Amino acid sequence: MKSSNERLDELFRSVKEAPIEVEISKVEGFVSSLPEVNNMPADGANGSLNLKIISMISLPLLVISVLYLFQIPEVVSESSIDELNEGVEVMVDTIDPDILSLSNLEIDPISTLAEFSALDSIFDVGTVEISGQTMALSSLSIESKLSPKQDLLQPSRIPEMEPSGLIALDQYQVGADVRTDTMRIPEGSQLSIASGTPPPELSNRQMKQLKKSLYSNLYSDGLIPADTSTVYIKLPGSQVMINGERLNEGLATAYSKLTTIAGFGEHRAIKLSPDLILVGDFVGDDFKGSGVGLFPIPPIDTSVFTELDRSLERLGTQTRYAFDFSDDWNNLNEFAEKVLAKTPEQIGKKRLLSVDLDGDQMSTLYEMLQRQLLEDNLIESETDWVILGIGERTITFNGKEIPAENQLAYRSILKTNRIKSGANRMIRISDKVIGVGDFKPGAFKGTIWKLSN
Amino acid sequence: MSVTKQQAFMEAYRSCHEPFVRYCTAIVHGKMATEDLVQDVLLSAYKNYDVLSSDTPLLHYLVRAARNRKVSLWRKSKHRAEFTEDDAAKLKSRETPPDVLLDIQLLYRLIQKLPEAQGDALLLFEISGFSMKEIAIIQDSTEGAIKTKISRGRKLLKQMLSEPESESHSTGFKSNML
Repeated sequence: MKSSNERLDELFRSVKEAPIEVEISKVEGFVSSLPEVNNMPADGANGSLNLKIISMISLPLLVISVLYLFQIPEVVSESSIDELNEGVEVMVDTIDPDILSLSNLEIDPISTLAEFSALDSIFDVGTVEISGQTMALSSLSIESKLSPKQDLLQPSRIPEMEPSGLIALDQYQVGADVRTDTMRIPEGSQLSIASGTPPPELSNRQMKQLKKSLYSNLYSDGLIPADTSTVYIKLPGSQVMINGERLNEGLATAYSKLTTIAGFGEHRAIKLSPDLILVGDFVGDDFKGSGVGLFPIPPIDTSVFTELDRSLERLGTQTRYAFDFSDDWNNLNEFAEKVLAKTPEQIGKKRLLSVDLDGDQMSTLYEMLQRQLLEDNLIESETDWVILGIGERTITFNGKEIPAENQLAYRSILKTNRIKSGANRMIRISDKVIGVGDFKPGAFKGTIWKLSN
Repeated sequence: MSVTKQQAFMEAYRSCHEPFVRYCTAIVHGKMATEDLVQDVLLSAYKNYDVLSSDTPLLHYLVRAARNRKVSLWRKSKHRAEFTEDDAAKLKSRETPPDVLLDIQLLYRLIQKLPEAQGDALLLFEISGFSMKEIAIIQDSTEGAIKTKISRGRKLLKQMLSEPESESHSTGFKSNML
């Protein structure tokens, strides 16, 4: 029998002879991955620096970020609720040099308000298609709210039709203080970007955030008297100028950083008003860039199209103008009023937030609904007009309740597209336009999408 | 520059690796992963490598750092009650015989029952292979004191080994050597 001493020695020997837990190759790999310079954090931080702890911190952050991203549309809608008056939210994107414009339009007082929330919406709203090419007609100005110094889009400054074949859209007569003009870019003109960055293509959300951030900072820095003032920020690259005033070095640096997303250039500027933000290159009356804002839809006199047609005939092109969407929309709403006249009032919550979908989402929604409606034999063709009432308890089709067994499919489509029910919530579809949102008497708040052929 | 530092560090560390890792294994046994402690101490050593005085051997620094850090890391880490299956799996993967696995478990558990200074000195002497003089430097003590600690530690261990099996059973161990 072994003595205790021998047993102990044997134990120690066993332990000493056992393979070690951490191999030298692991250490070599670890050391080689360490920073080259001695810039690691202090000991206290080192104490907790290992992969397990890093993953413990980063994983929850990642999960929270992902959850936040999924929530972002709602957040954006909420944050911009003050901006979402009944009006049209218009995205202005890059205008092609060979843009067409309309002249001598007589616009009647606004009768219908709509909110456009998608970039592509305005493309359709102000699009002229020529030989398969789409050109944007988009221009925004606020006549009464811009000071003379800031108002780059004074109607009086928009020249008459150019001999180059361009058609100018100007001299609107609008019954409200907000009006729309078409920015005109002479054929073949090249906005100067040589000395700066290309005109920014910003998303709806980016622009809203920029607007909010700028207003907040400008007001707190005392650069504007109120956070509803109209602001014109020039970003030539060398010095930020706000409403024609140069900033001191500290503020200039801060605002340069704040407006980095807008880039810079000889003609680069940001126009801000409570109703809109425009970010891009302003050359005279021309604009190239991105914008988002709220505008009433002006019912457009049909003479516009006559003029447009004539102009385009001169250009020798086959035309299809998209400005007639307003008529389509009005006709659709007239149809809706008729079919809903005898329908009991829709039950549901009064929604504070409108439906805010982009072009792709609207296309998806349209396709899904059309497929389901055809499948349920509620429509015979895709050109049939549809008024879907999205009540809390029931969904109606053209004023009639859809059978309960079929409603689940529509609820599923609505859920997929994140459309909630509501007291005034509807989807209205004609052969040319689809609108989703809250249809209050005399007003609409939501998203309208012009259907392409 | 950096590559030089990494190379120099690894060159100095290579000879320290085995005693250092054995020491770490012993002091964190049942409490946390050896790898965590090794990595943590190495990070600290690498960071301070430039400022380590030339008369302080890297191994001494590593052992001191491991001993100091084990407490804070232990508090932060989830307490491991037993020699886990992970530990056994690691050793098994290196073809350690089952009886040796049991020996390792037993010895580490017994050493942890010793007074800290005794157990530490014993570990450094018996397992990591330090001399009495080195341990005295590391523990900021005298050779005589270290000799006493080691002697008393061994005596206590022998007593524990001689105790009836019932105690071993009560601690969840079953060794065919007892």
